[in-house]
Amino acid sequence: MSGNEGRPEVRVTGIGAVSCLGPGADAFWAGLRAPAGPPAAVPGLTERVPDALAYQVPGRWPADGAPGRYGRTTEFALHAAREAVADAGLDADEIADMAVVIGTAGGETGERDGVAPGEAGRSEQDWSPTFPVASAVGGELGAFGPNISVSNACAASGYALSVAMDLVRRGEAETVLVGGAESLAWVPLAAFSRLGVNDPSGCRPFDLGRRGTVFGEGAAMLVVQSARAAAGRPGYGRLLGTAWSCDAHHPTSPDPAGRQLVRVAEEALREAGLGPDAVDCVIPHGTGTRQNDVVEATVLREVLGGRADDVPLFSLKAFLGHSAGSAAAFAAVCAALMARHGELPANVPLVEQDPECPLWLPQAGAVPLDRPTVLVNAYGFGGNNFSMVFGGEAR
Amino acid sequence: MTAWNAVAESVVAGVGLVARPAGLPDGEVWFDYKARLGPRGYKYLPESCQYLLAAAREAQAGHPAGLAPYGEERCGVVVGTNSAVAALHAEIEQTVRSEGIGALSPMTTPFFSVNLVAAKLSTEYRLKGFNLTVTSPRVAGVEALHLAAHELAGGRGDAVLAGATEAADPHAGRAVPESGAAVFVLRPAGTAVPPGGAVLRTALRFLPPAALSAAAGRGRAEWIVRETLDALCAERPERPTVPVRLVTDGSPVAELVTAAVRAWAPDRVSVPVAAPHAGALAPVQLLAEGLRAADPGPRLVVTAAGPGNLAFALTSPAAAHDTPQT
Repeated sequence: MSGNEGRPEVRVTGIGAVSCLGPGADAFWAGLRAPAGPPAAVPGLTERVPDALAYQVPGRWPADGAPGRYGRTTEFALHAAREAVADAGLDADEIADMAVVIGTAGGETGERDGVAPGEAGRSEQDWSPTFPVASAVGGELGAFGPNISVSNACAASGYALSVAMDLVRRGEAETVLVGGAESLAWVPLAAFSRLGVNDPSGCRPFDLGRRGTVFGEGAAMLVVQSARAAAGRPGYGRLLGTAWSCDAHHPTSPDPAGRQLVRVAEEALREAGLGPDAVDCVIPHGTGTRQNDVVEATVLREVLGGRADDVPLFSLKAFLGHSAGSAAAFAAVCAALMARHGELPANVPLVEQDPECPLWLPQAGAVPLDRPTVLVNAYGFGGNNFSMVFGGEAR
Repeated sequence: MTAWNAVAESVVAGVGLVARPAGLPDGEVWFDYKARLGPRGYKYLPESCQYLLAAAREAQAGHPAGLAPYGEERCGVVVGTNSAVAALHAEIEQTVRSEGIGALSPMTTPFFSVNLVAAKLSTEYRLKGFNLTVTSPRVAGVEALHLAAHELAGGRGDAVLAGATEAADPHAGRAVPESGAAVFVLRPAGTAVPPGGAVLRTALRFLPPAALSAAAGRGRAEWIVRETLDALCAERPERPTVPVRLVTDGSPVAELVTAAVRAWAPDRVSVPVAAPHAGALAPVQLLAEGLRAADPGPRLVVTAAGPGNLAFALTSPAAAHDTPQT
């Protein structure tokens, strides 16, 4: 039960996903309850950058293999968006009124791979913007509501969730399609290699042997609605509180003091009207980079206080890799599915947990959860920090 | 129902503009980061970041202590861009193909992430409240001003550096590449409007392009444009006379918006930016230029982009109205 009575409710009534686990939220959940697969070589790039592996969406996109109007990121987003809209049971009028807020770190950066400057772009106007995803989704669905593109690196879709929640709370939109989308591109994978943060084995957050992160790709979408618009629909839960902060410290490394990471989690809880005692589980940012995981573990122990040993974590990126700007939306969809199924799936087994990350990562089996309150973290380059409190409901 | 009359309001308390001089021949150097920022610490930043820092410095010229008096956790940054790191991406990709990743600069490479341009602004001034980067095609600059105003109205900060920055996109095609930055110091609505400042009102809308092929869709779109203009100017004394500047791109969306705006404000519409631009700077630059004019008056800038994004922004300078003191 949240304590944020008085604030307009923001209810989650639909979800959709496309990931390395397959298309669809059902495939996503099934994949989280099965052994995780390894990342694979990225054709054309891994020959040049040997540690550039990735957790890749299977199959051809668009599905018919024909060159589409849109790039790969947008195709993922459209698939997940249509699933979320159908899941929420939106009618034509609701879709036409709907707002769209999508976070993406790289947008369609990959569409420029191999295209020399001066060569024609994709659009009829001869300039293909790098960040067309939200516009394309709004255009395809015929949504006249506000349309916003957020690009706060690996926290982008977290920031999008905040913006969507505010749209509903201010009464500017009754229904918002919100999420994140990302596809593989040469530039970020090569850059991560140059910065020495690619793990050539796999994404192993909180494992003592981790050497960095591994990219993933896909899209995760949610339909969020006001209480009035959501009335009578089965839901997954509510967005109770979100918060942002900025380290203002370093381009790529978190502030080791963690002050702004603690603040953002505490402010999200405060907005939710809850204290740390209410947190039933955490989906951490947990990327597998050495410093990030240690700092986040320290932060969580401070935020959760005496309950830190008793609150289970679900390390999502061990299944999906780091899907950059879509990571927070995947975490939100995961939280919704945890609520629906009443459990936190078993984590990918660690070879040896890092003693500097003393957190509870259940690995032997699923942990039952009844209408869980989930704390979600997402951090990005530039010290861009996001936390959210999701209040799960039985569907 | 969506609130089609929703408008955000804030107060402009400082303006900074770094713009390529009009008419300068291609290839002519017009910006010297050492002169604008200093000799050390800025060499390896992308041009868009240098422009942004210089514009932000100028915007705070009227604030001798910068934004520090508000407290570092009460100040934020919101930046809109489309092409801030497009040239860097092209350079990284070409380097990887031709020389391998070992040739990538460890100083510059992190800026492949577009939000690092805005993040540098937070680091420069230790602004820890929040840092947001938005990227909607051609409207991201006004999108940034709009979201900054909402953050202020929501009590999440007391001052925000907000605006747009771009660096020439090598994939601009026939569109006009943009280079430069415009930054505003924004304060919450209702605070005093300082000399040279203004009340800023903004709105974001979206018209699905495919919907415009049907009469019903066109009718709805025209109604949304009219409603938004009315809402933006509601209870403003400048409503009957405010000049309107259009930033368009020749798309069907832009044509519809142009007609609707001309119907709303006959004889008061100019189109200073009719050629498609490969960026989101132009509308914010127009707003900044209006406020820096010798005799600034109200200015309404409407941006319409082919993908469907619309942005509306009205500046009402300090002299144009009474402002409550706080």
